Amino acid sequence: MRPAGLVFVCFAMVSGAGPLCAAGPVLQSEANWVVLAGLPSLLDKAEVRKQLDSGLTATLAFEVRTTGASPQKLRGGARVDVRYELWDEVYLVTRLDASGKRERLRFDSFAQFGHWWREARLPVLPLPRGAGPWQAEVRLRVIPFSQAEQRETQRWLSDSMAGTTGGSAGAVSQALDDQPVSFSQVLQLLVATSIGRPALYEQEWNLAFQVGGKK
Amino acid sequence: MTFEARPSVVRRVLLGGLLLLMALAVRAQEEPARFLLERITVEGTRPAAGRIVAAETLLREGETYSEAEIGQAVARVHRLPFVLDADFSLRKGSTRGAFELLVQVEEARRFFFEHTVGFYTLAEPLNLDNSIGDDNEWSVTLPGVAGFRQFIGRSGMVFAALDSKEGVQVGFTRYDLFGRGIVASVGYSGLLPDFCCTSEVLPYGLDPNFVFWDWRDSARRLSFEAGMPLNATDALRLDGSRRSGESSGRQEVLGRFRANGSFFDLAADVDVTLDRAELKWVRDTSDDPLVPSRGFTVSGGVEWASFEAGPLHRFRVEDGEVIEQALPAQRSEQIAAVVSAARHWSVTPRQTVSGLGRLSFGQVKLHDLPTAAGTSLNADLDVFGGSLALQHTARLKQSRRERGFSDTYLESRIELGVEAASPEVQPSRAPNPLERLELSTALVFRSAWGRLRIMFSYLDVGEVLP
Repeated sequence: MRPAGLVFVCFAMVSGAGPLCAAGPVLQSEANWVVLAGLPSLLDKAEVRKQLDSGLTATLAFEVRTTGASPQKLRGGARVDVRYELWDEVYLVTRLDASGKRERLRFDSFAQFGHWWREARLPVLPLPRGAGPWQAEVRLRVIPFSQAEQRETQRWLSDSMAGTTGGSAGAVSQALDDQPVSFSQVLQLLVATSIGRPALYEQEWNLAFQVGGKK
Repeated sequence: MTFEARPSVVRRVLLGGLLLLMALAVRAQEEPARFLLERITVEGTRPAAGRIVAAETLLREGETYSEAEIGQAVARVHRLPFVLDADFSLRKGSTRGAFELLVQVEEARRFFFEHTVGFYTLAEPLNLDNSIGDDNEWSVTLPGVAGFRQFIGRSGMVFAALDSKEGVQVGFTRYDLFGRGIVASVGYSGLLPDFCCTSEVLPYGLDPNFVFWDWRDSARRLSFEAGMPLNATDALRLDGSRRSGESSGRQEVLGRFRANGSFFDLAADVDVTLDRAELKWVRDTSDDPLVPSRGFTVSGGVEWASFEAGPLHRFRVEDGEVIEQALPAQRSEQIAAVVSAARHWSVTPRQTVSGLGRLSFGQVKLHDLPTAAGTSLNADLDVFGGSLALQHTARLKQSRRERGFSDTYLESRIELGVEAASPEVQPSRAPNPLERLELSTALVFRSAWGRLRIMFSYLDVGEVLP
């Protein structure tokens, strides 16, 4: 089984240059939107499949933000909610993208759902006005039903118990005081060994796309 | 009067009916799914813990729930302190439309540890470690802690730990106090008999001589911490501690190697007490509480510290003869406003750069502060502290397994700190302002059992800035 939470980067060029990373997604201009296509093949991974078949809604969430020398900072994304209906043995899928379009779909088999996933084109950003090369970071997270609330819980616990370095106002003296095992630090250790289990599955790509001019 | 239905009207009625049916169908489809839970099964825990988990879901067998209600149950179960992870899933029940809710829980480990192997290269020897000689410009520290925790009921935990510096630590933590998510902890630590000693550097404002004190095996510390979440990102935090006990002496951090001269000791059977308290507001928008890659944390609050020692004896050597001089008891008190901020940027998926800063302004009252000249100083001072740091974190490995998790990351940091008192005083060899430059890199391994840290650090303290 592949370790979950594994993150890798794949640089890809679109609009003529062609993807350098064949299996990764691409960003393309389409009408008034930048769409994400070629969604990665992760549905067959055992741990992901287990969550998709849990009978409760799992979410595949894409976050997109322009980076690097892009003329403008933009943020967007899309999400796909999946619930397997145990008694009817169908996959109920809700797709929501940056255009605000919500689409409800129903697939009679996992193979059908997989086919749709591979062919899907998700608007993730409004088409920028500035012509030229853009770069964007695309982050995909698989959020099982059971983890949707987990981050909030972790934040609550860490905010309440530990978090930022405590101690008295001492930019020199406090830092010099080698107290790795003070009460605060034991509490932090208890937090560190109680939470922080990484997300089920996470991938990131740095993608380039061209707006206007060269297509 | 007769009513004739014209074909166009019929078509309109049929079309309208069809649209109505579609709308109803869509409405039916959009209604959130509800699940009849015929049975709730908890796996992966001891029976008693399983009963707590089942009760904490607040779900009842035979009732029907929406996903949102089951989601609230997930949040409640995740907040149980002994739950490391919980997976919720459904199975088919005995009849169509009925389900079994399966909750698979992984309990937090009862044993925990932390160990650090620290290699320090010093710009000049510091009087922090008796193992360092006058000529040593390096130091190795091996602090560590190992302990056991026992969860009590749904929201209590007691823990006991042995550590290399504080001796024995015991504590109790209560989660979700008053049902408002408040976490409160109290702890006690004390050295084992004949286990000498524990030391602590005093905040510069409390003693601009820049000293640390050693406590003998009678040393004890009482601590408390409480945190109250205000909303999803904000929290109030209150903590405090009192360290007290018989001291074995006071040392200047920079004094030992700079000149011959004097040292101070306490009169016999006199206690030394150091109190600290802090109240602050914290806003945290970072994406991970332990290894953040985005977002920021800001905090602001008030810190108070007080130090009190009994009568002192000053010893100095003149012409080969030890001369003893009695000095009055030292007492000092400091209050400061403190703000801190940390901002995290994800530079690549595995690497984060963080900028950290901290500022403090306060006032201190010094009573009978001993000076190197052998006099006692009484003064009210303004004190200032500030630090800036840049940190790079690279996540080398991260894994999530059926049982537990682990991650390994490399942290590199450069930090500059300064503390000063005004009007300018320099009661000993410690400079005013006092500066620190630290460059460090640490390899950190974390799992559900504990944390191991291997750290290399370069440290320059005193007059660092040109």
